[in-house]
Amino acid sequence: MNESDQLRHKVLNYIKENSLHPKPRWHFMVMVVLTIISVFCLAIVASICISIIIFSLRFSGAWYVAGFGSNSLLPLIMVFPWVWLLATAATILGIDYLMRRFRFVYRKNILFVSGLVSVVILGIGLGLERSRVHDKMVQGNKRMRHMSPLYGDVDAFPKQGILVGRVVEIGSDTAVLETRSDKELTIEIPPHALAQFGTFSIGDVIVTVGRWEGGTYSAIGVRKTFTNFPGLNPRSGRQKVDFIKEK
Amino acid sequence: MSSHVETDEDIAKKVQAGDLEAFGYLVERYEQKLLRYARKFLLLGEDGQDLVQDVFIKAYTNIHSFDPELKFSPWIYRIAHNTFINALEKRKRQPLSLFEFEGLLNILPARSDPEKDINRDMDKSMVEAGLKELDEKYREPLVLFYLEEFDYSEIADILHMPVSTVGVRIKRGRDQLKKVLAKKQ
Repeated sequence: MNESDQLRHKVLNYIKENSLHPKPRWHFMVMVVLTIISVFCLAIVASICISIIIFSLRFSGAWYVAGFGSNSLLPLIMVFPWVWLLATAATILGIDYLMRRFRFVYRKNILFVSGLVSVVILGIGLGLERSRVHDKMVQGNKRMRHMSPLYGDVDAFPKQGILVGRVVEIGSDTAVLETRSDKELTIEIPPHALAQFGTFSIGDVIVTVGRWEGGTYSAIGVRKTFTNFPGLNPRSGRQKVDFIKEK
Repeated sequence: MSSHVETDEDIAKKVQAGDLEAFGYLVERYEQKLLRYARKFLLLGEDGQDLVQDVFIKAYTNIHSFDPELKFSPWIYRIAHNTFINALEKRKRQPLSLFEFEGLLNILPARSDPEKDINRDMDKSMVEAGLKELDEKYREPLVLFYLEEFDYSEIADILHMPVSTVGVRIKRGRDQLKKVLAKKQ
């Protein structure tokens, strides 16, 4: 018996002795279906992560202060939801790994596939965020902002340099804001902080980037934003007074 | 007397229909090829029978995952590739990195017949002489291309990577090989 016959006999005997049978065709079909379902579920998870990232940036105020240039860079880095970004990246890698089982995917360049998956997920995530589902969650359960780590800590954002609040009082180079921690906070607003982004009135919601100096918050940039800001109490009935006129 | 020779795909169809003896013909046809692949890729010397037997057992139990519309050889070599990679990882007791950063940047698709540039006959002996000195990620594509005589597209199916990345690895493998052989001389 030559070497070839030997291996043939060994293999066939092993199969017979161990009563091995081919896995049925449906086994492989189920595996393909499970893979597709897993890809779909991971895509949903990644889209939710993306929508949370975008909402977190809006919620912290970082979304609105990007135009403040280098002054907003450090606060932006500090409030950025890095954990969600890592979760999104891990999920996209998972999708990529699962999809690479398919011939039409592994034949493509890995950057092309990951890029395409990222664009699709970003689109769905943006759509989800635009549906205001996170706004409703925050507004529907105002306490949630203290309990849930989903969107970041509203008490920490001001310490990191970004402050969101409704203007309740305007003074000379100062304004009193009602914050999302239900506190009133007096901040300094030097004229140059307003120069680029215009004026605001009592009742408006503003987002500021600034620094803490000896317990006083001094704004570097101020921007008026929409009044129904997530986590803030609805607009009070105070009289509207223009900040510039007041000065 | 009929001169018709059954293709691997025809025999695989018979195995899918429950003909175990037909599987024996596939073992006969691929035994030497897979032994050579194992010996050259894993640098096993004359060993490798157990691994190849393992490949055939896996091929048999997974025969229904083979699509008879496609070629059989890349399918069974894919099983062999996975088995050999596992063996290498066990031997080294760590995951094997076959990642190719340059492959990421090689976005342009490979030309339809890029291997025309390379003379297989001229390089075959050169490849055999320098295999031991090559990294695994370059050694395997070179073995598949020069010794097993697969084309780029089939190697892409065996290694589950884009055709362009196969091209990159073969080119880099050749360059590494030339350097190694130049040093030896």
